[in-house]
Amino acid sequence: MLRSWHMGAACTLAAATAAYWLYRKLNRPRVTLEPSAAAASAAPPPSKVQQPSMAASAAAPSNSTDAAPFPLGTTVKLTGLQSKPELNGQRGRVIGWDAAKGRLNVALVHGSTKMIQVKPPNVLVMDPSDLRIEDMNSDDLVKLTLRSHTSLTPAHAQRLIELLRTASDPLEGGNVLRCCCACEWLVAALKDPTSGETKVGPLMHAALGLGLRLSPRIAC
Amino acid sequence: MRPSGSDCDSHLGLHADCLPHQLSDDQVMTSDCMLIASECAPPQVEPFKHTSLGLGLLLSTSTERCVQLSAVSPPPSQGVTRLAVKIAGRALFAPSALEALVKDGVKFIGLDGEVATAGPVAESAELALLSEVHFPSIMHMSSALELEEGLAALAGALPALRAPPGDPRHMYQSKVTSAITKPLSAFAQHTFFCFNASKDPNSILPITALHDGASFMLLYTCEIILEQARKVLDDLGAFQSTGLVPSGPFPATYLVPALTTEGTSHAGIHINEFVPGIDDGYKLVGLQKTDVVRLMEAASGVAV
Repeated sequence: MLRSWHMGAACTLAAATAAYWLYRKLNRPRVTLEPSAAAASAAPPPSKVQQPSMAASAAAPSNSTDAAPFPLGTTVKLTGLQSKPELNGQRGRVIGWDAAKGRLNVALVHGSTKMIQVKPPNVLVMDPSDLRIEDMNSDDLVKLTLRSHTSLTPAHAQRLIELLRTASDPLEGGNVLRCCCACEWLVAALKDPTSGETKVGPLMHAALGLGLRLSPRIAC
Repeated sequence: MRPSGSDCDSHLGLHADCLPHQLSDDQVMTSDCMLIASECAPPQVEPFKHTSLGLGLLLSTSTERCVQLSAVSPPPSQGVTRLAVKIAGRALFAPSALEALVKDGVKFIGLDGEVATAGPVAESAELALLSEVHFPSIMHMSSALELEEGLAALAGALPALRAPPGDPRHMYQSKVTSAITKPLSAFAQHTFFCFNASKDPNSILPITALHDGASFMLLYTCEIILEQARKVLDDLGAFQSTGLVPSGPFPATYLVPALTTEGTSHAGIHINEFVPGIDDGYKLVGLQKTDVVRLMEAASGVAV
């Protein structure tokens, strides 16, 4: 039964995740779950079962120095810079981690300086609600939806569309789709006052032949 | 006056009244009304036909833009006027609604298309779009949002669902179940995502976390949410393998077999746990396996 589910749903699921996981398709296994296998493997090794508080204190990864202290894309504000104090207070995004130097690569949102390397103590992670809408990326918008599904305003939706038109990163596709679902949209509907009926229609109308430029930025 | 959700509720017994132009004197109606209206007679939105892409659904962020978009097409018949209808994305992209649109020939969803009426402006018009290939993704995302909104209701119903015969709360079980029909259905039909700890690419072993001394499977309503939790879990040492720990879909129909098969040590599930910044109402932590069974049974209409 489970295998039959797999046959029927794998395509759908693959499509459902294509926008976001294009780059990870090598990691997308053909998934089956045998109940017996699940039972047999249901007790993961202790290393996989960690109480978070314990894990945090007792299971620090051995390669922690190689891991970026912030997720890429995190919006930060520069602070405490001695060599370039004029940059303090500027906003930027973490775009990389130089493990050898122990410094973050931060792309600045404004100003003539495009990128700077700073130590982690020299950045403050900014709350999405503190960001100006024009500075938000799709991840910031997603974070707003985590607080409340109704927190996205039409201005956020416009920013979303701007990101969709200009983004070159297909990874943003999933974020965009979630935000599209969390926004309210206006759509055209039809009203027929002559009939006095509640029915709206007809729905279809003639081809218009408009020369629209298309921005299908979500790559699949 | 703009109608409220309760105004719409009053029309529930008369489906024909659940339509935009009877609900609102102005040209915009509220989304909660549309949620009801969309169930009465979907779809009521007006698709747009593009010469090469075919029929599409144009979404706007402002009434003005919506009116501008609709103004470029001739009225379908005399006397017919247009409304700008406000609708929540999760309702518009709900599988039933979007599938109905697809059935009617909709091939793409355009966002804030700057449709010009004629001439050189048309050359600069631009339309950001979601094509058919994105429809399955956006339907799943819509379902995920609906489930997240229903998790609090599911949690609130559990005391009544747990009540044994003789317990005063037992008599409310049927009422409770009927009150949470939509969240129950969303839960039972959803495809969750999980981090896969299995080294075998042909199997899936959700990563678990200890909670009150027991092991709970970590499930997420969608991959976007799962990715939000990745960094937190990584910091907690949940991933000891090098490289990106894969994730995979985990349909709700797997839950009961995975939790109740003999030899299984899972005590239950966490939904959307370890997601930084998420509202408590959008997650469900420590759902016991017996509660999962109850919810699935309630969803299938089997007596609890």
